[in-house]
Amino acid sequence: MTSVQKIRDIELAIAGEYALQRMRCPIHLSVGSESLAADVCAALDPTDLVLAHHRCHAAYIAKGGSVQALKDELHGLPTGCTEGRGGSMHLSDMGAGFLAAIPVVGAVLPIAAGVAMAEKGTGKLVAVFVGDAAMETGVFWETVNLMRLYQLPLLICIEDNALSVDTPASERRGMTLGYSTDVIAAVAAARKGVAPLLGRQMQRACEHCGPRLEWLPALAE
Amino acid sequence: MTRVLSYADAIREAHDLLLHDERSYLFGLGVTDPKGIFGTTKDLHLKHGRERVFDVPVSEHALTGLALGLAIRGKRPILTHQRMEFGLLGFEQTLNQAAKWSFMFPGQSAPMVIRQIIGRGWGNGPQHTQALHHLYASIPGLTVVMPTTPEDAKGLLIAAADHGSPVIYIEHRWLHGTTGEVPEGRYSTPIGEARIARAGKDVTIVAVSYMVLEALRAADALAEDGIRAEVIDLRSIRPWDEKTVARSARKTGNLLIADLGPREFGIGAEIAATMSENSIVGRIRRLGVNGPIPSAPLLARDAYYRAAGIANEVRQMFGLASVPEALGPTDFCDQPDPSFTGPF
Repeated sequence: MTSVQKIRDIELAIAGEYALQRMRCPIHLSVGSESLAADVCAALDPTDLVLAHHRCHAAYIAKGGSVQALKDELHGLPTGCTEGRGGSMHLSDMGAGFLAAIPVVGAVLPIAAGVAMAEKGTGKLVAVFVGDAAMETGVFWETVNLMRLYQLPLLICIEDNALSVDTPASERRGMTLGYSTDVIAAVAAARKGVAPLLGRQMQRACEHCGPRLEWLPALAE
Repeated sequence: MTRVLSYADAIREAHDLLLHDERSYLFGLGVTDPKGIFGTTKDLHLKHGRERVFDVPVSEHALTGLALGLAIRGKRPILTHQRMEFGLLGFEQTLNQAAKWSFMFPGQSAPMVIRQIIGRGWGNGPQHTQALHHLYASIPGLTVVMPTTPEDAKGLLIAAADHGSPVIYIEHRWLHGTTGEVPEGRYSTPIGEARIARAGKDVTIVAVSYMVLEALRAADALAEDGIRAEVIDLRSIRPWDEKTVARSARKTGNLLIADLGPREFGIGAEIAATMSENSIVGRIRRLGVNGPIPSAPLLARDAYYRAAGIANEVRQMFGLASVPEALGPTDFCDQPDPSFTGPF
């Protein structure tokens, strides 16, 4: 089974169980936008490190985070991956190298840069996943500058669903923002501290926050 | 062995000792420039290398995150701001991320220090003069320290770096040139412990940072009126030393909090509320800054409480008449001492 299929199965199962009202936390499902995390993590070494934004299930699962600990976290159990402290937006599995997820848009980027600075020279690569709206924050460009200036082994991965909650890109962008789409080349460049921005256009299948499928409705059946 | 060092040199010595640990980093605007943040970081990059001691872009938000990212991977970063309000550009990382990191992610920790400097005088104006320790002290997960003496400047910086969680280390620009005895070698000043700067039994004056020096001058003046003031240098704002303040206030029966932050919603309110809730002392007064500080020296002069204002507040508590501060039209009161000639 591919990583994409595995992530989608887990996410759809979560969506189905959400109606039971036992997962008493917001969920930002990765259905439809699994593939970038799946491809990037497939190109990473097990010792490489990953951080992510609030829609973090795909990256967490693709990096090898414990699925049971994810489900337990959503249920607020002490066996959850952050012992029920963080919920779905603050996943972490240190054993898998998935350090943290952060819901404040863009805020995870400089933290990932610091992790990359700490790991500089060790051969480890740090990949950080954000949505396309992160490109509208100042801290995104501050981090890109730091990444270049200090030649950090950091790969910024943009999961571009053209939505910020439900606000389309056309209402948020005053200029065209580009990124590379070549995962293998970007990962190789990132190891040398000269990564391009990496991104991929993907369709968010679920609502911004919640289990309802707005696209691919057939999946819901 | 102790020697006499300036406050700035004491900070530099602490940095130097800390940087012998390969996990340590020191960065911020001006860290490697010839002035080295008022001498506190001067030439340390030449000794410890630019990989760990470096100047930075004007990107306070990302740099605060950079420090956090280093910290969570076992490094010991210290980030510097030449004025306190620049730290606000990184406040998102400090408040949302660093302060909560070890809570959000059990098993992880964020041992980082953010140095921030409060400006005063010489036309620093409404922004560079802000004292925002109360803002940071209101945030669970942060530790806030404000050393007054050179000895504590060194000891608290080392303690902050070793603390294991985010520490806001706040300096006052008017302290950098002050001197005092400083022990050699590596030592820590305990976080959360106040210092009795002067013993007395009639009134307790709790002061922070530069206000301790003003409070000591006020205590000298009050002694001439027969009022023996006990001056407490709080040193740590969060956690603060409730026991030492309570012991003193219970003894004197009079408590004055001389802050350099805002009077309303400032740390004076917290201290007063705690003492009041626990019925420690009935007579409590607070002093602080009551609005933005103007740039013009003669306008700024009236915006601060100095020793004379502190002494008069105490005199009022004792039903004594105030003694006006004797100031001429060209007494700007905008230098810590005549050796300070700007520029900032």
